Amino acid sequence: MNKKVLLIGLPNVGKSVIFNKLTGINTGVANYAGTTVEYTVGKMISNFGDITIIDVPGCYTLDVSNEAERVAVEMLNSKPDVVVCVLDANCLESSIYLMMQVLQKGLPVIGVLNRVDIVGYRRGKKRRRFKSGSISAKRSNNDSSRCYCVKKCNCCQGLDQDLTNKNFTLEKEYPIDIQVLGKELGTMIIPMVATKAKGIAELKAEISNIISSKPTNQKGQGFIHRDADWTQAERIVTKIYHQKEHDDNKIRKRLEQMIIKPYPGLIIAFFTLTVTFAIIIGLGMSIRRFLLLPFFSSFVFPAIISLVELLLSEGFFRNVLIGEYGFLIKGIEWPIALVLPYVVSFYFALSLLEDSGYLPRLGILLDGILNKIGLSGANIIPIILGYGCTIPAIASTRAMNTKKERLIVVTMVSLSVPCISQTGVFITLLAERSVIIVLALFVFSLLAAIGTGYVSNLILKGSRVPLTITEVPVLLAPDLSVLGKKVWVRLKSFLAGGAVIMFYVIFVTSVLYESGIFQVVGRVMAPIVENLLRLPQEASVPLVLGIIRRELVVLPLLEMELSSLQLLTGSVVGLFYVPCIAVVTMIAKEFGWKIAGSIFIVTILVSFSIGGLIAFIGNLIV
Amino acid sequence: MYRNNGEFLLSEMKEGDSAIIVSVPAHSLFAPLGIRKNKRIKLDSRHPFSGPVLLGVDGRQIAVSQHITHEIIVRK
Repeated sequence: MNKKVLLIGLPNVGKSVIFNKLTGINTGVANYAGTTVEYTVGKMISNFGDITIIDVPGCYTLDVSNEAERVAVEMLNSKPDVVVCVLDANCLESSIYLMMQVLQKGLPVIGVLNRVDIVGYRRGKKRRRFKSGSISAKRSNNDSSRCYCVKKCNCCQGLDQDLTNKNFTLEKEYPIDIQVLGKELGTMIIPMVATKAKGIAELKAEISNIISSKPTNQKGQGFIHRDADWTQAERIVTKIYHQKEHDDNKIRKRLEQMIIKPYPGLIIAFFTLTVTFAIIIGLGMSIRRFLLLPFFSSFVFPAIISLVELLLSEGFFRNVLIGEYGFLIKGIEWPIALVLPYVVSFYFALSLLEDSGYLPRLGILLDGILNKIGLSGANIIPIILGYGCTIPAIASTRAMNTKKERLIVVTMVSLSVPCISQTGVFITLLAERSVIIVLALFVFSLLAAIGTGYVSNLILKGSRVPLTITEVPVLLAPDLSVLGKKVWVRLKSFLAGGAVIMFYVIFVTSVLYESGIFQVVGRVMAPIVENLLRLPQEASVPLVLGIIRRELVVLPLLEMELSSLQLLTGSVVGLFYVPCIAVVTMIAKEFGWKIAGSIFIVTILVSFSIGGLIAFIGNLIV
Repeated sequence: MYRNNGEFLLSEMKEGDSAIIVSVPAHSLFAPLGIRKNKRIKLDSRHPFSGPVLLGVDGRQIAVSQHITHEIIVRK
């Protein structure tokens, strides 16, 4: 049977980063609490076969006071072979408290002290440099990996001499006495900077060690019969700090204060969001216009068209391939040349916001205002994720305190927050006519989101004012290589998921269209499409497709000769229309079919009535 | 507004002031975030529209809803 290793720790301590480094999988990583809502399983390859690594959702205690803690306790009780407890050098007390609770389970535990590199900033202590010669002395004796173990272990064999010479441990660089911490907890502590892969090799070696020999001295037995309590944790923290004076990192501190204070914080927020919006549109448009469009329209598509024309004579089959909905053209152009550039630009901008730790600060700035519609500041994160894709947005609502908050956010995101794929189409569709229509549409979507929140707050039962108790993460400069990796992961998942589905849907559409079935649908839906929305009859095709993928409500409008008013009507209908079939299924899984069904019906009704209203008023004016 | 024993509410603190916590209401998140008895906290800032209150504890920054600050008792 596979050996099982648990990664456990507080929220936002970098468990997922360590997990990624151990397994090579790229799970979602961000700088805010609650990124891992479900646990992730991966494999680490070792000399003793594959080892299963489980990334447990972050929790502050094992008191089972929320979903994440329930999952964590369940997993600890499932007899793992090793528990890696990730301590955060930034909030040692809480980390130590959690570790004491973990140690009480009597399992083999390895402590990892992560983020030893930023502790100096937050704790207000300057980093110490290595003493000269301290590391090189050790290296000459050991060519493989460094060892920071407090107790003697296999990886230190032959290093006894150096072990007694305390000079070589990483601790010299940081103001925390790792040896004392290890002694207090009765386990080994590996210092780590996970984002820079420092300490990962040591952790791997130690996991293999415990799994191969199962030494009993790692269990921290001293804690099994002792209560974990806060006075203990506080005592240990005072003991392991080398120095006590507080000389803060002035610039970071001042910036953190500026961003979070109402003034100038709100101005900075406005500026940041404007820049983010500009990056998304500007970068996306540039990738499309200057890179992908020239490539496809001057090389790929002419080649495909001439090849098909060479092989097939005019008729049904040729049209299915390269006709109105020809899937060899549209099936490539729409997902790759149109949507993909915005997927790249959105996740680039989002990752900047995520990794810097700006999003929770934005949440705090907007907390008071969001309270008015039954939400708390932390809810801003799922909403912003929703501008990328509704699926991760709904997944991240699992971390919320109340079901009411979850439902409000899910309704908002499904109804009035366009996903990036849709946004890309809006920009392409509308920006060529006028950028103002694009902006108007987004202002409209924002107002609609607020309205949705307000109405659902009134309708749904539950307490009116949510409670915020949250930690503000340290402000960090985003790491460019991490950023690039994140964008790449999202891009890959778009290509493997969204783009492939779009390709299939376009194929089926092309067949249905060319065989005349969609024309029948068009005649059936004519009262809504022609009379109410005042769009051409062929616009009923996208309304059917839109149930499967959100952006397909709007995409086919690109090919129709529409007036500006019709474009606006179509876009607004698209904005409020049914979220993807995948989203409806997910809502049903999370909240039951009754709620999924209501959201499905509400979105259709709202989109048709607002679309109809715009068409009606527009026609009076024009 | 001092009570006889020198204790007062966190909601009565001014921006920039610090105080020592006497008692906090029962909520599973307070202790792990450092909002515990005998901890020194600093009120960093208050937010408009009844927004959250920012507290500094042990070099960490914690945001709590304004309405719960009426239930946290502190002393000088």
